[in-house]
Amino acid sequence: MKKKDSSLPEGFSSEPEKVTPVAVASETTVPSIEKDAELKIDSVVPIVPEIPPSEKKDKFLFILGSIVGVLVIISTIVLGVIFFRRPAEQQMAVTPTPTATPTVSNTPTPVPLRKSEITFDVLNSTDTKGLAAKYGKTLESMGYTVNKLGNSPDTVKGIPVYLSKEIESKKEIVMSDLIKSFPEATYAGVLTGSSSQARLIIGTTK
Amino acid sequence: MTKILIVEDDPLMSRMYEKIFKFEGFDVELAADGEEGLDKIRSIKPTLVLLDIMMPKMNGLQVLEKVKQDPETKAIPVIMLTNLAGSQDAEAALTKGAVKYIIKSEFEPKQIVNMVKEILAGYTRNDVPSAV
Repeated sequence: MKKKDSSLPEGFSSEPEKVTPVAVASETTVPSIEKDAELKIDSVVPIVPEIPPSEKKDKFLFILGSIVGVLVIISTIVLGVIFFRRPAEQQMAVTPTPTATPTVSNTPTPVPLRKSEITFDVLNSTDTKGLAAKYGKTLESMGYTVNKLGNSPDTVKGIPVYLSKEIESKKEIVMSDLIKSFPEATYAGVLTGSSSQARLIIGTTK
Repeated sequence: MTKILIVEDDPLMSRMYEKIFKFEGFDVELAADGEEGLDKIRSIKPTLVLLDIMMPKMNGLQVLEKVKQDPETKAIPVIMLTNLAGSQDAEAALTKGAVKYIIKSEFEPKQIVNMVKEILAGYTRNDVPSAV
């Protein structure tokens, strides 16, 4: 019997422990492998790692953020184009186009018809009293100015209209306007001897 | 035959309306002022009256008032005609019982005939007084 080593702590011994080998190989059945066996693979199931819900949420937020980002960029570009284009257009509208040496045109510039500036004499050549006043009111309601109402010394047919030289150039406009209210009105010639610019005579039936 | 009474003091206008209504197959009567118009409405009892507003002796609104007060004539449809656009006469005429208010300058005579036809079509045989 060996003497106990006193330098070792309690519970430890200087003698080697007996290790009982565990019988593994002798008891375990190893499957036999046939050398010439065909390799059989029934099916290969791809292993898709399941995405945890937190990652799914992150992915969704990423896609959403990307869409919003793209939209913001597009709208910024569009607004930028509009913003920078508008002043250019305004400038174009305001800036007078440089013209060549001004030429004197013989064609008179058309002046818009101002009905209130056209003064009328309205004369009645019929036996019906009050027609001049009636026609005068109608002319005023159309926007013309009535200067004089009275009776015509001559009996006429239809509604002859005379226009002074000042407004003779606008006779087509004036006549087409008068015909709306007085279908029988016809242009009869240049008005002379009156301070008014037009004369309308109410005649008898044709 | 449908009888139309045109009450208009302007001979040119009344002559024009007379022509076109006759052309369209209406029987036409004319009156040159308000008094004559009222007499003819009472005597001939037209199917419809075209009544001008500005007229001597009695204006169109006065005639309309009397027509609508009379039980014998109140059922006769009356269309007011005028050349004065934008006046308050339109509202007054409609209040007094006119079926329509026409500003002559805004319509062709043919359009006015069509309006008359439409108005007459809206009345039943019993509503429209038969012409005497």
